Amino acid sequence: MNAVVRRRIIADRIARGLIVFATVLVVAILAWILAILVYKGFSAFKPTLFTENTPPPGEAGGLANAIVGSLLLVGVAMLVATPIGILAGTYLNEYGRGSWLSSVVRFVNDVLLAKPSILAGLFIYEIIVAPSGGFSGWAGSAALAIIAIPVVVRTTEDMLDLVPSSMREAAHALGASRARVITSVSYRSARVGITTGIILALARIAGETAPLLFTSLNNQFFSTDMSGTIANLPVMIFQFAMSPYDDWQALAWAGALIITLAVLALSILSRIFQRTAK
Amino acid sequence: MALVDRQRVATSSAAGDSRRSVRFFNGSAFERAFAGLCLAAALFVLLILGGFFVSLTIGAWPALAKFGPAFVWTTTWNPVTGVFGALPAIAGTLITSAIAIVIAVPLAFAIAIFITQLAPEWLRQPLGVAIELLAAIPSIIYGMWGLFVFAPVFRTFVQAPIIALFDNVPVLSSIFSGPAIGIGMATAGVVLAIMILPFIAAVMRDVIATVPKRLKESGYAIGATDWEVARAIIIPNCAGGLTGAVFLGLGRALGETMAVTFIIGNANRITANIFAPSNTIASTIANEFQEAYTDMHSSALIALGLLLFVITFIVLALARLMLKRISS
Amino acid sequence: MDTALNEPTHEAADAVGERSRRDIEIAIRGLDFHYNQHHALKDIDLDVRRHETTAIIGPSGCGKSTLLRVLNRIYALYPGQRATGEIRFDGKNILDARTDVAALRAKVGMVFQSPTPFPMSVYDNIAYGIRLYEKLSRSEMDGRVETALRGAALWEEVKDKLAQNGQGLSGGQQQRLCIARAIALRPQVLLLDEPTSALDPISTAKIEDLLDNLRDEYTIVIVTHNMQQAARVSQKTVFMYLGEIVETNATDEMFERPKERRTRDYITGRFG
Repeated sequence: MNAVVRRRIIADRIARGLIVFATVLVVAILAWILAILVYKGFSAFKPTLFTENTPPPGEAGGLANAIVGSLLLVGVAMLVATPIGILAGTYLNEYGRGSWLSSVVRFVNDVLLAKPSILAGLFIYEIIVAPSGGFSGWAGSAALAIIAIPVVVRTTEDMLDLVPSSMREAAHALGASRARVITSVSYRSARVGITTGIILALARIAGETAPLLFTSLNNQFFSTDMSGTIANLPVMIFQFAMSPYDDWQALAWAGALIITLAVLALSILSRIFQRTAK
Repeated sequence: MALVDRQRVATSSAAGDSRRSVRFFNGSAFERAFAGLCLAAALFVLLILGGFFVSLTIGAWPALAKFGPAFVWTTTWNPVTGVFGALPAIAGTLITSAIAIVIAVPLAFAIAIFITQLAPEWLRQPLGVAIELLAAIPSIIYGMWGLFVFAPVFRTFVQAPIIALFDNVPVLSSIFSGPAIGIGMATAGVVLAIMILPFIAAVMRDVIATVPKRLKESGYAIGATDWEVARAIIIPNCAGGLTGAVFLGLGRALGETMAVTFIIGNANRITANIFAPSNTIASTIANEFQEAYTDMHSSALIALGLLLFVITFIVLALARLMLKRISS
Repeated sequence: MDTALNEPTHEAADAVGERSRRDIEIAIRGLDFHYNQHHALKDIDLDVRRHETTAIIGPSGCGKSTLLRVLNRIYALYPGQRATGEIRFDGKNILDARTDVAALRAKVGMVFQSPTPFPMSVYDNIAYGIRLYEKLSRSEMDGRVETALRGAALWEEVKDKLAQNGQGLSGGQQQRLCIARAIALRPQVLLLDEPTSALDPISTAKIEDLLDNLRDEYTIVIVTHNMQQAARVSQKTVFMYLGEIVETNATDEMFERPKERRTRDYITGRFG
């Protein structure tokens, strides 16, 4: 083995060593984060989390109001975001193919996909909270919907793109109109993929905190009134974690664990769907 | 043949009554309504972005009118006296994001290379999935971990030794100076790095996967090592996409709110000391917005939001352009 | 749809002329086709006779599929594709902008190169097209589905799995399902675009047998790259090259005594 080759091999060994080291380091840190979360979350875990409301400092309580509020906020947001996202994705792939407008919309959607979520909160504050004179669940759902829409648009477009054009042509050849082909053949063919997009959007907004700070705010009490402030897990976690009270911090960890498990479950579910889609 | 024709005629007249309802879903009214809805939804996406810009500009107007362009480079942020300059928040944002990128990019690249090139086949898929799942964890979790777990460790094992080490070195002693309190720009930068790492790694992995196999094989065919193939073939072939991944990560770091707000220390001042508490644009907004009792204070916070909007728009647009070039 | 559509509209035509015109299902005159800047079909003239199978052959890119795709205006789905000239079918020029393409496509069915079953049950695959035009009772629909599947020689194989997903059938069955779907609308014309190129020899033979039977009821135009297939299933063969029709002749004639040198070269495998 000559010197040149030896030097190359040593360089390769060093580089590979560093790469493996970096990977192990990062995986270890991320495992550390998850381990802490699971440990602290489970320490604070008790059945009453789901039956009692958030307590004043020093008293026992649970997260029932925050869990219900979160489900409500996220549910309403998805009810709004799903049809808009699917229709816009349909425009991009079926109607606007190759058009100037669709490339602009696609670009803007990609930018929105990565926009800081706090901006969605400020935006909704400006157009809903300030004019209507108060924080509300509706505003919170609107902010979450704005974050969810680009996710649904993107996946819908990608999944419709996987529908073979020969299948569309076959439906057209029977005399079906374009809208009919889309609603009965394209959607049916891409339904698993489109569902994946909806689940991904759910996972995306379930843990969003920043946009809710200026929209739905939080509520110490149980409420399902969307026109007033409403309790929710992310803002509760933020406020309780920043508080000086031990039992509030414990509840924050329990809430963080619940949210993380929910997000991971949704992400895994979407991957399972994605696999069957292909 | 005649039979066939009669059959056809009979069929169409029998369909006469119900034709209208049948034809609706295949007719021009439904066609136009559906196409119109799709177009409206697509335009709505544009409207969201436009709405961001217009509403933030209107909300920011009182502050922008009062302070003018100097808003961007003055350093006083004082809600009590009603004087607002954005430079401390801008500086805090740029410094924390820079720390995050410097730490995260090499590590993310290493992970992406490991997953695509070095890892044994059985490990690639699970590791890739794990990275993607970690990228989906809400940022508030990273913030809590940063505050309760990482900050004390960082203070004891990193801050204190470094401060002691550079105590008598000029320049460095002012960049790394005490007291070691655990929270501040450096802590926020490191936590941000950990948060954006899985995300950048996942995008980089997808980018690297687009390098044609035969190119890599032709590298190995002349006896190149893994590292030489990575450096001479993979990086040049998808440099644009890798840069795009970095910009996407930067976009996230610049606007991240929750992971930072817990650990930045909430102090509106500019300092060269990266261990000192500071504020970013997003953390200032998150900390102060609900407590902004004067209109000027709210307006100044929205002006910060507008700044963040413009900065991240530029960064994300660049990211898109770079990623687009590789996909097409 | 009314009976008048099946009659020539030229009142002045004499009885003999009318008779011969009625034998012609589709009359193509001076057809040009552009795909953006590309001139894909040049001045095509062709008569397709009723209840006869016409095969279109030629090397890849000669325009044979394009010609087929003009006949039901499926090309119009894509911007940048346009056809000019005249294609007379049912007494009307189908290239006319006012043509109701849905009604046209109900009368001109199409089967594609690779099978395209929809992601729904075998039964719904057939019923889908019928429901576009007619509202039938369950029993009427059952009858129509069965007739269509029998017509495509598929009934015996699928009668017990009508509720199964159509995409779960074998490739040859899928293609016959697509033929059944097309004939369920009781069209006058069937267009087949290389219908067996994705199939194994046994499935191909079944479809060729089927085409022989279908000729009694439908006018068939088939594009194929397989010259033996053209010889087996068609009565008339059209040879195309570079967007033009080089030669049109009775199939037996064409394969035994081609008039043009280019036809002879292609048939004997010297190019293409």
